[in-house]
Amino acid sequence: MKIALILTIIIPAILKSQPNCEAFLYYGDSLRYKACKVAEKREGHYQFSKEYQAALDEAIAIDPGFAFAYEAKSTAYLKSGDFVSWIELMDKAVVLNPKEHLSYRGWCRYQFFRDYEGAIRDIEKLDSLSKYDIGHSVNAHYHLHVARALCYKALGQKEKAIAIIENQLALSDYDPGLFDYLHLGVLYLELDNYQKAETSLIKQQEINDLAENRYYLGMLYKATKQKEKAHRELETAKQKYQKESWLFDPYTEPMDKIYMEDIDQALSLIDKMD
Amino acid sequence: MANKLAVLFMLIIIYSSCSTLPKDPELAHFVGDIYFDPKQDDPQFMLCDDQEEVFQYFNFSRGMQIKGEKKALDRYIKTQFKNTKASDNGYVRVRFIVNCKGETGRFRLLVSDLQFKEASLSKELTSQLMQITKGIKGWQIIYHEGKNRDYYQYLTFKIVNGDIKEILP
Repeated sequence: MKIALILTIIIPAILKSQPNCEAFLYYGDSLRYKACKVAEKREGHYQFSKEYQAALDEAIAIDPGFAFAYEAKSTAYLKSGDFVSWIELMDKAVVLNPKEHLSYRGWCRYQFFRDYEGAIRDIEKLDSLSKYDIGHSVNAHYHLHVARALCYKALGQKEKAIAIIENQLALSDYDPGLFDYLHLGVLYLELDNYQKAETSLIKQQEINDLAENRYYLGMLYKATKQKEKAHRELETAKQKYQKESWLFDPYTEPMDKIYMEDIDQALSLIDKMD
Repeated sequence: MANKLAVLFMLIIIYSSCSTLPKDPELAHFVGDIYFDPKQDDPQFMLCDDQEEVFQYFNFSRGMQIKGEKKALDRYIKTQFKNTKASDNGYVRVRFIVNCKGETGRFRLLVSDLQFKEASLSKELTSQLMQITKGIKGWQIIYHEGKNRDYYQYLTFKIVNGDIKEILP
């Protein structure tokens, strides 16, 4: 669990870090080396700032083929909700270097815009281009195949979503993500497969115990008429929610997130059960 | 003549420096800065700090901050919204500032098709979403580093066949 949390912090930093400029020089690309060194001037400045953006503009002016600079520029537009400027920049980055930039565009399509078809297209394209593991979302919370599964779920293809997550979890070199079993459990619950839902939600509890897995477990027990167990899980969900131990992202509301109102409503329904 | 030109030049300089609406977005300090525009903004809406000190909603690492959480926000919007024509497909973003008193102002619209390319959707749709967003109450006052802060917030609506499919972020 601790390792996963550390990775959550470190991986995004690695993914979004400046490329090694010396490598461009080593391979004889002096123009890209120059652009890369100019792009370093943005370091220490806020992504939204004029200085940050100007350094990248300067790098692009030197080498318009420097894909990294377009993606780095795009982030502030994404976070300010300017999807028109964001896609313009990201499309350039992807055209120049699809293997490096499809993952970010695909993930953001899902996270910020719920563009499920677009996200699936990007992730599957990336998968077709990669010989190796396609990796995680930029915030490191999800393997991209799990993100792809959530997109299929949103499009109504729940069995396919389950198959993708189960395949990912079955890989010998894959460590379950922070929320994988939660989403898997919810999928099984939505398909009334209570046994597998319970197994998954209890696994989530062992990996990363949140208000959400307790809530959905409570709903499962409610559906199977186990009133006491349902009440216990929902009360735990409430306590966890009050302590902010929940499914959270600072930018967007994650899929399968619950709110205090959901817990209170469920508790009130449980109280009315025979 | 030279003196008159000098005075005119000075007046232009003074006007430019006092104007709160940059002619060129590149002059903005930060990506997405919203400056006061007398043609569309309520002059009664005031920032508590300088323009350069307006935060982004996510800077506080607490996500969207609204009374009743996003569930209440979604419910309010859906009860207010009336479907428009089926040819309305795309994204509509309304961005604005929540000031240190929890008041909102400087609303700005951005519209695209479902591929995020700038596009026009019906006026009926965009005006409606703008009015609904302006009517939302309950944006939280955010205390950060010693005082209540102004911050940018936005809502993005994914529209499919004239209906709201998603309310983001």
